[in-house]
Amino acid sequence: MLKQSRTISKMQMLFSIACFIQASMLLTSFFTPVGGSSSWLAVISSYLVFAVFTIPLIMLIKNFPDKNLFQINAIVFGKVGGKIVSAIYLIFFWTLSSLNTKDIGVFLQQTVMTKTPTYVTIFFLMFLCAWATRKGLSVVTRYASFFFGVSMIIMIFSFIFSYNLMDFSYFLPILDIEPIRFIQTTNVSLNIPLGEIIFFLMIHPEVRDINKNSGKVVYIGSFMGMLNILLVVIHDTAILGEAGKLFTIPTFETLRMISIGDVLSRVEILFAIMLMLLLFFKISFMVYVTTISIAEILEIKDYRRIAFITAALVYISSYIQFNDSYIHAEFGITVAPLIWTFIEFFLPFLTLMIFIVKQKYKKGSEQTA
Amino acid sequence: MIFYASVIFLLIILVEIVPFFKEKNKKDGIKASIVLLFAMIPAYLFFSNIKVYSPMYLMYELFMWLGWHYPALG
Repeated sequence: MLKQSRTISKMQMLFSIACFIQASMLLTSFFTPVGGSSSWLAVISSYLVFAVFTIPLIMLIKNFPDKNLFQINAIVFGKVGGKIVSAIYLIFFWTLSSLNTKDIGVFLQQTVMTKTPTYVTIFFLMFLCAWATRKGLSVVTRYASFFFGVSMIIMIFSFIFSYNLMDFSYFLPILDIEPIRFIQTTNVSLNIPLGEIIFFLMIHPEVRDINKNSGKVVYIGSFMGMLNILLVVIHDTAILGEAGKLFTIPTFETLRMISIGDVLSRVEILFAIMLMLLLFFKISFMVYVTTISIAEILEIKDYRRIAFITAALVYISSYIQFNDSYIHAEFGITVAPLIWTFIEFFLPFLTLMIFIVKQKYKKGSEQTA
Repeated sequence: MIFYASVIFLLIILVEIVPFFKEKNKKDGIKASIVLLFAMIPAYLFFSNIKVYSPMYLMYELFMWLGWHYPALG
């Protein structure tokens, strides 16, 4: 069993959750083409659904403040059952880490470093992530509040600078989409940025006093992250309208249009910097979680010793997950919401239910004895 | 690419796998080697232009075949 000491504060966890969710703003292109001008409503409704669906996660943290998700699985499902359930989570963590790595590689090649091959940029990114993982969670999460502050400032300024480009009539008519499309948009928005906080169930034993106010930390952190996603969706819809569907990174295109006199232009580089910071944070956190997951499942005593191996695994799989970016996008829109719901919300709910039933059965048998 | 990949894998073996065996922690060394193999085999197949399918891609194909999915964009 992996030993995790209390190294970070609740505040660090709160900002880490916010940054982690915010980093998914690149993936708004997964749901804005489906939801169109009503995407902003789907984002709000997804947060409301999330507030209910995340109760089992918070209850698991409260009931097991010293155990990570894999240790909880071993207690609830038994040794073999726990390993099987943990293996599902491990594939999920590994897949998401590699998909996000692929996303940042493609983003950098499309926008900032157009002539540099992705395998070079991703290589250096993975090296840094593995290095941070070796140093521990406190290093990985140290700059979360700084990254959050910087990204919030950039987002607010870009909102102000592009105000003259906005046309709020693009939001009308409200909810002019089929119900299934609204549900689909809500589901994608629920799973891709929000549900990914399941990663934090692997690190909560490293947070000081997590048994007190854990719900507050999760809700406030996710709200802060979601607020930024909502701002991005409103910003993109107000500027591009239905044309936003045509772009892979709509926010980047909207910021390209900003020109205040001859003084202020090319503001999109700020967005690129912000996204690089956030995605670096997210990927290093994901690599950390994947590393401790592998160490936990294989019962390796010191997870730090396999950080570079995990980074190599994530690096290689970022190339083979989806060879075609069109299939990757279609997977994100059509199939991922269903698989992700099962892993992010149904499995923790099932774990909690089995735990409660076992506890009741145990109490009942103790009373009869 | 195969050359660069080999150099990187060799460095990883030297930095991460060899110390396990030096400390006579064979059990963890073997486990770490298995994880590294999971990275090495797909890497060499991929760089040799042999198609490799990830578990998630196979899952995607299965769900599409079963019809368990949201409507595509069209």
